[in-house]
Amino acid sequence: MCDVWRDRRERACQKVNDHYAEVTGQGSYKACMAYTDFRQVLERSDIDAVLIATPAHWHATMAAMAAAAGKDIYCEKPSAVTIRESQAMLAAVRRYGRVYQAGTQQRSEYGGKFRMACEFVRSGRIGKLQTIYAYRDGGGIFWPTRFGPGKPVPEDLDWDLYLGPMPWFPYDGKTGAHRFDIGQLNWGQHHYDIVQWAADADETEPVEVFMEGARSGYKYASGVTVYGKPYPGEPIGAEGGACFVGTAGCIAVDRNALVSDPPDLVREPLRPDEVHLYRDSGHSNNFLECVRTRKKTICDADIAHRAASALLLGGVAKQLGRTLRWDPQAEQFPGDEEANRLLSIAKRPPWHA
Amino acid sequence: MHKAVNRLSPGLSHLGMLIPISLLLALVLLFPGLQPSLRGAETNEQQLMQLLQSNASPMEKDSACAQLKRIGTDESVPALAALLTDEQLSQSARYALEAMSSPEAGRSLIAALDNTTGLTKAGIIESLGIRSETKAVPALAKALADSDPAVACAAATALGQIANPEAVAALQAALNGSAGPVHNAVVDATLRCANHLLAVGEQPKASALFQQLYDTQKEDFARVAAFRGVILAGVKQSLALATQAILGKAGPGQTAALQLVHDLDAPGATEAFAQLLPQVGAPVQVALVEGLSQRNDPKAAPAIAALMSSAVPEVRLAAINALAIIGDNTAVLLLAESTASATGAEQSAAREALVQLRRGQSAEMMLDQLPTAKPAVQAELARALGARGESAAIPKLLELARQGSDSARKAALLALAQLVDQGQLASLVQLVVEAKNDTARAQAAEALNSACQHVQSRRGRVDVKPLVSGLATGSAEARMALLPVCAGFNDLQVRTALRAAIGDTNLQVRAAAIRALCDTMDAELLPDLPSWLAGCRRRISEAWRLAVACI
Repeated sequence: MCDVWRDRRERACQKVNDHYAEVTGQGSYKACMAYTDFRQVLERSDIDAVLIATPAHWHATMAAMAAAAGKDIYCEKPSAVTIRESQAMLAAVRRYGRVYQAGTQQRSEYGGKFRMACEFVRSGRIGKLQTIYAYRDGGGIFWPTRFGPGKPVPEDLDWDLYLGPMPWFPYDGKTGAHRFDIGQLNWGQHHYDIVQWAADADETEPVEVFMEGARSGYKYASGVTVYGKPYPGEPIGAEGGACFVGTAGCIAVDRNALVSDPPDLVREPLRPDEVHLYRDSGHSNNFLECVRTRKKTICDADIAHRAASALLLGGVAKQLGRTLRWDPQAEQFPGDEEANRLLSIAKRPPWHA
Repeated sequence: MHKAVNRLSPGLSHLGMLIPISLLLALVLLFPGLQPSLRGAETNEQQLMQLLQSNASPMEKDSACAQLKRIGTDESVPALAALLTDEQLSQSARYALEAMSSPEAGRSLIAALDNTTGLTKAGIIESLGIRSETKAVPALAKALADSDPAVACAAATALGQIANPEAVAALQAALNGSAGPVHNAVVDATLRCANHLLAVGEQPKASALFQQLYDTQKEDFARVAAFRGVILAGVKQSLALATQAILGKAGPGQTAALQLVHDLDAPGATEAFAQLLPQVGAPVQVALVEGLSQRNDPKAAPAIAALMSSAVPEVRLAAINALAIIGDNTAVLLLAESTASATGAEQSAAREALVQLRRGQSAEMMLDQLPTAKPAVQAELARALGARGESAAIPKLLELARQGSDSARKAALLALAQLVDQGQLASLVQLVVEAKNDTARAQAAEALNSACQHVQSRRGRVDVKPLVSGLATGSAEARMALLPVCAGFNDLQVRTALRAAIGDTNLQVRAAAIRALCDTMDAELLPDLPSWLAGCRRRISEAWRLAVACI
């Protein structure tokens, strides 16, 4: 158990120990240790896997370091806060042959609604997919104001480790998970994970990012257009969802509902001759099963990288306020130096992905 | 918000002449979108450069760096480079310089190496690595021996990112002499180089580097990574290397090989991995089966099907799950029998597998087996056919519902409830009419009711003729079973049938009609109430029921 706040890590550690003491019937059970610095956890050869649920600016750096220490990784979304660190995370996971699961549990959970929606869309029940309303748009991270008066750092907080790869600045009382976010960095990857799955785009990314008012949108090589906003008049979608519009109808999904117009599109069960996608009903169980068997997780590093990239491309477009062309193979904005400069953010040493 | 920003942006440089630059910087910090674009930004760049060279506060200089990341040209590189040696502002300067594509930015970062130490130097080295600055390799090779581990680690990583022959040579030289975190960084960087060589098609060189790491490193995780590379760089030997490792003892080689089962791109890989199944222990069998199922290649199905008789439950479960994905018609009976005999997770998995099975003539095989299989298997096949939406199964399911055992009949009726459309409703009514006992009749009526609801939902209306006909011609028992179905309709023919039933001479039929009226959604029947109440006379309970129905 690792946390930069002493109180949190000690409480969490106690909770785990109490649980296992009860389960095992050993009142003195003390297998869980509390750490401030995650590097001490990575040094332990008896730890096989880590779950990263830190502030977003740490995710990719920590995941890459965990991979290089031979750990399998379950990492909360967003997988990364810049496209370059997302690439670095992916490369590290591949380099070390580690199992990675992105914390985009909608692929597995919520009664399979998201999977079914994607299977119906990819099976052509709405005809040819034309437009996706992703409900939320892109996101990214900003360079913070670095100098100021500051406040005394609480005695039980490691402020330097909280900041990690972000530039150092005096403690200002904020230690949230998303204090450096631009736009929809927090929730966006849930939405774009499903958008990419439904659009059969797990192995690619958009070819254009555009702005419609204050919101980013995307065009894919397949001809599909994605709007980072709700489908007009459609209430379904706020919680990780999207609305898919095709030539023969539309399907909307979120954590609470799967609906279609006409209604029959989602009523008939998936036929054997239709598209069947990776099926699993428990996201963390899927991860643990893959740790044991070394098979691919339902939301592995490749998939996570592509979904995060779609989200982060929108963040770049939002910062520049203009349309951008994107090469999904080279992963660059062709001939656009200004946009390419926003693909990375210099990290504070010694941290790097 | 951005519309407003876009309207403001063109005037920004003009505003800069009139208001203090510090105020402008504060505005930009608050509204990042206000930052001007590269085009037409010369004035701003000059102002920002002047600010960097002035006695402005660190906050102002940091903000200027952030803007120069967007608009800076070669002209601003010297002003930014001057900050690289400033502990406070070095990262701010890197924020701009790291992202600039110009060679001048790279040169400034290299030049700063001699004037920095510790974490400041490590940060500059990191930027050189991100930029893949090949000209930095000599300085980085030297920095590998830096007494500060942070600098040496950063140098190793940067050399791994650059990955040219000189970088590889420097890292190889450092492999033996390094220790602790620096050694781990050198190993990681060497792995980066080897993977780079693999990606650019230099398999022999990559293979040699991977093999060197596999042979010399002690940490399991490094050896897993190295052996993964050995396999991938092995070209024609890849498959042989992987299969030998899987057959070998548990360890890094086996782990790396198992991880590649799902996507190793080599001719004959599926067959070769499948052939290993009888030769390995249960844990490896499970891993192999999972990997083979993700290859999505049906060639592995026979070998996996053979594991259905394994004594180890985990192996059987993995085999069932795999057959759901890669199995074909030959797996049908195996899965159906497993479903009928297994319990718990295995039974659930086998039922799901029968529904998922989509290769070969799976549905046809289920239909072939349906009439002659054991009753328990018949029930499972019927269940699967219903869940699969196999409407071609309706005739055989109707037959099973007429002639099958209790369990098979029940499963057939449940499947029919899911499958039948308007055209087959008459057959379901007939099942009610011809049922041999009350249980069978009630089950058939329940299936009919459920089917009517499905048809209503699917088509917006139901043709009630078969139902009305059954009410008119069926026995009293059949009429009693069919009347509850009537409650779901708002239809003239059904209304007429209900009116007839309420006056039926058979008391039990009349009671069933009253129960149907209690549940009816047809408001047109309301005006009939007084006359029905009057007709009840001494049958007070009937009158009360009718009155309650109206309430």
